[in-house]
Order: sequence, then C-alpha cells, then structure tokens
Amino acid sequence: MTDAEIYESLRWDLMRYATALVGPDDAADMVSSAVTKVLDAKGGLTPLRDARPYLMRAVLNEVRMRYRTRSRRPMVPMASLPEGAHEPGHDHMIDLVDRLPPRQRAATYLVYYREYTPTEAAQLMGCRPATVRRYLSLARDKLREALDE
Amino acid sequence: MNDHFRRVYVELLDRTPEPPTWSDVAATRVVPAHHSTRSGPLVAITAGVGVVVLIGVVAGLFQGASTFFAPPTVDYVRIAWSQAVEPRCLGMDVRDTGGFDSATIEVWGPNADGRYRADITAPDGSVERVVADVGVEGDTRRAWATYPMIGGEALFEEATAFRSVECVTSDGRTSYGVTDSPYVPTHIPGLAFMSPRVGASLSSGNESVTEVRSDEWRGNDVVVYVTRDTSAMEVGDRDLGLERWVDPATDLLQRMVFAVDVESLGHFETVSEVVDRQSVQVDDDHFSVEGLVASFDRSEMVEAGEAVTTTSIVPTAHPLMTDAVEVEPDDIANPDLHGVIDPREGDRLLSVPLSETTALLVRLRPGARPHMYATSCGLLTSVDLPDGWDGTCTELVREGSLEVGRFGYAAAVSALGG
Repeated sequence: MTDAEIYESLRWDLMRYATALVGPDDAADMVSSAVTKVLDAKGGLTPLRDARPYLMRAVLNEVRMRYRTRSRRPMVPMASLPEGAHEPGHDHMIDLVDRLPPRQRAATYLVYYREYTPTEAAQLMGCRPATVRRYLSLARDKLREALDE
Repeated sequence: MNDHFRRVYVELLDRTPEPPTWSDVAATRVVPAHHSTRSGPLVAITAGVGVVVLIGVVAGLFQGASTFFAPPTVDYVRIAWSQAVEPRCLGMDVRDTGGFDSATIEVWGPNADGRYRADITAPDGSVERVVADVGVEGDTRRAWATYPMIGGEALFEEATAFRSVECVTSDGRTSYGVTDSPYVPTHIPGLAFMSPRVGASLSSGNESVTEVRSDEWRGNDVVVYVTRDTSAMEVGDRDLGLERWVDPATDLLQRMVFAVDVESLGHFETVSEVVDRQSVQVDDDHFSVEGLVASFDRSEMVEAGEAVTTTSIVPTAHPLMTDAVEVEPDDIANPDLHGVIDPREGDRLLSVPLSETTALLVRLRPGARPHMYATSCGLLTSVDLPDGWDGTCTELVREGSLEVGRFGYAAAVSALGG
C-alpha cells in the first residue's frame, strides 16, 4: 500500500478519534498535524509496522501537547455541540467530558464508546492496561461526583 | 454509568467533520531537502574544517579554566534489577509477553530542575531510557511525568524488552498485572537516593513494619526493614512483603526485595540492588526531553485549576518533636494500648499528635530501645526504633501537603542512660 492508501483507509477513524478528544472544530487540525509529524519523522507511513495504533497515539499526543499549552481551557466549546440535547443533567455531562484531560477522555471513548477492552485501548493509547483502568476510574469518579451535585 | 459517556460521544461524533484529504496533509508537510549538489561536499568539508578550527580556538582560550565550565555534579547509582514470576491465574488465561527478567539500571539526578534520567540496559545490550520529572507536592519520591525513549527516539510504551505477565479473564475484558516493571525504581527515583522513612510505613493502614533489625550484608552493617501488607483484594488474599536494606552511615538504600503473592494471580518477586553509587559530572543535555512526550503525566490526574507544583524541593522539616507532649500512663485512655505499652517505673511517654484521632506514641525506657506505637483510634502497629541514628523521620500528609518531621530521640535516650 502507498502512504496515500494507508491514510485513506484510516482517516475517518482518526477523525472520529480526534473529534472525541477535542470536538469537531479542532479535530481536522489535530489529525493533520499528527500525520504530518509522523511523515516527517518516519519518512512516510509505509515504514510503520502497524500504522493505525501509531497514528492514533500520534493524534493523542498532539491533543495532549495542545491541551498543555492551552492551560486546560475547555476543549469542546458548547456552541459546537448539537442542539436539542437537553435531557436533565445532559449539559452537565457534556461539561464533564469537556473538562476531562485528554487521556481520560481517550480511555472513555475507546472503552465505553468503541467497546475496546482496557488492554486493547492501552495498545492504542501507548500505556499499560492498568493505566487505562485508572483513567476510567478517575473519569467515572468525576461523573459520579457531578451526578451527585 | 458508562452509558452516560456513550451518549455524549454518540452526539459528539454525529458532528464529525470531513477529515483532511491526503493532498491536504501532504501539502503541509515540510519535505527535507535531500538533493545533493556539486557544491554540497565542498560546503560540508569547509564547514567541517571551520568547526575543527573553532573548537581548537575555544579549547585554547579556556584551557585551564575547566572548573568554570565544569558540568554540574549529580548523584549516580547503578542498580542490578531482576524479577521472578510464577503466575497462577486461577480461572483466567495467562498473557506472558516473554522478554528479559533482568536489567542494569543506571540513574542520574536530580539536576537543577529536579529531573532524573534512568538508562535500563537489557542483557542483549539494548537500552531504554526514562527521564522523569519528579516532585509532586514537594515529594521527590513521586514522578510528575516520565519520558520514555529507546535509541534516542520517543517511545509510546514502556518496558518493551522485559517480561510482563497478566492474568486475563475469559471474556478478555479484565486483566490483572502479575509483574511489575523495571521502570518502577525509576518512577520513584528517590528510593535510590533517599532513606526509607519508618513513619510512613507505620501510618499507612494495612501496611506495617513488622521488623527492624541490624544485619550484615556485603560486609557492611545495615538496617533492615521488613514491611508486610496482608490486605485482601477482590482477587483473593494478598501477601506483600517489602524488605529494604539501608546503610546506617548514609541512610541510603542498598538493596530492596519486593515480593507479592496473590492467591488467584501468582507470586512475583523483584530484587533491586545498588552496585555502585557516586557523584558524577554531567551536562544538562544529559536530561534533555526535547521532542519527547510524557508517557505518564500526573497533570492529567488532577482537576482543572487544582493547585499543583512540580518542584522537587523537599519541604522544610517540621519539628514534630516540638509538638510532642509528654504524657502520663493514665493519659492513655485505650486499655488495649495501655496494655501493649505496659508503662513501668522510669518510662517516659511522648505523644506526637498527627490528627485529632491519630498519634504516634513513643516509649522511652532505660536500657531499652525507644519503641514507637502508631495509633489510629486504636493501635495499628509498633516497632523498635533503630539504633545508630540520631532520630527517626516521620511524615504525614496534612491538608494535601507532605509534612516531614524528625523525632530526635537520641538525646532523650542518652539522658535516660539508654
């Protein structure tokens, strides 16, 4: 496969991941920056043994770098979220997910939405399964606190 | 609970925009100029000569002034690490990555920024590196962020060369790690450089110091601490042992044996042994993390706006001893504790309050070792305080910050003729 073919096969997956992490407004920017850095570092996508997890980690790293430099400002502006989602507590939930650090957000997306196991999610995130479980636990604790309020 | 997250992502992803096309991405790429030209080699040779000349001039100018330009001095420790694992995984599958069970770990640090570097060399000579920023809330034993790399390149994962074993449930959704990682000593590099603190073990719930003894190891007198934690886990009883051998002359760790046995998972043991310790001079580039991304980042563990610090400074010692009050045997309201302390004529009892319900009680008895009792409502544990030290460090976390104190009992013992 060529670089273009590899990218074409993964671009929607990467885009959904980036959207889950930073919201729709910045997602394309994250994907573009991450893929560009990988191309520069590796000289292409074909040298990668398994491009999908590598690029997913690159997207997450790009988000994390952005997150650090933005000093934790909300990453998904409320205005960019769909209208009509106003069930009780729903805005609260969006706010909560909005405030989660990138890796907690990645863990909840991969495990609760994509239904990967923590071990599979760990491979995609570049950390240990125990670390994924810790991120999930932290995220759930925050949700529980938020729902109790 | 998980459905809440799922619903948010469902709505969010409904708005997923069109991804950039390949031509969009390729257009933003900075293509390095690999084209050689006729003038290329000549330019390179000229530049090379220039560098040699420049180095010569610089070396000549500053010859004899090496101390002015001397790199900073940091501590260096070389550790022989090994692990042994016997997985049981009752009712579960064993996931064993294979790999090495031993390593040589070299640790440098801390530099002026509170940073440590550890090179983990596998038996085949491959080197994995972790640079760690340490110091959360002033505690140098905890990593703030770690930057792993191999061959100078950023790593996404850790411990690629070393054996890792997990027990995995039949549905594949839950796994329990049986092994630890050789990175652990570097995640908490302070362990290689700081003395273990008795107080921490005494006041940490299920974990308790059950033995402190003087012993001999490699021809040196050392103080050995043995702590046990037999708390039950969801996977069955856990029996945890931590043995730390400390040189009383320096208070520094010499050898650490960590063993854990979990009924349903298996037995795991790791030995970390300091084989070299010295001060060395290294450039600050030695600790560079340029181009790396933290693989473990504690900033992601804290709430937005929560106050954190990444300084590596150990907080100023709080003189807990000045808070200690001498108490009479009748002041010990708990009869069980009273019985354990067994106050006699000539004893002195000192109480160091840690909180409204927790205190350290120290019994000074002529002719005997000072004995410390940790209490939390009732007795948790007690231990003879070791010989050869001027005092014992105690620590506690109060309102989120670590307080370190020194219980200076040597003078009191001396006054008692102990």
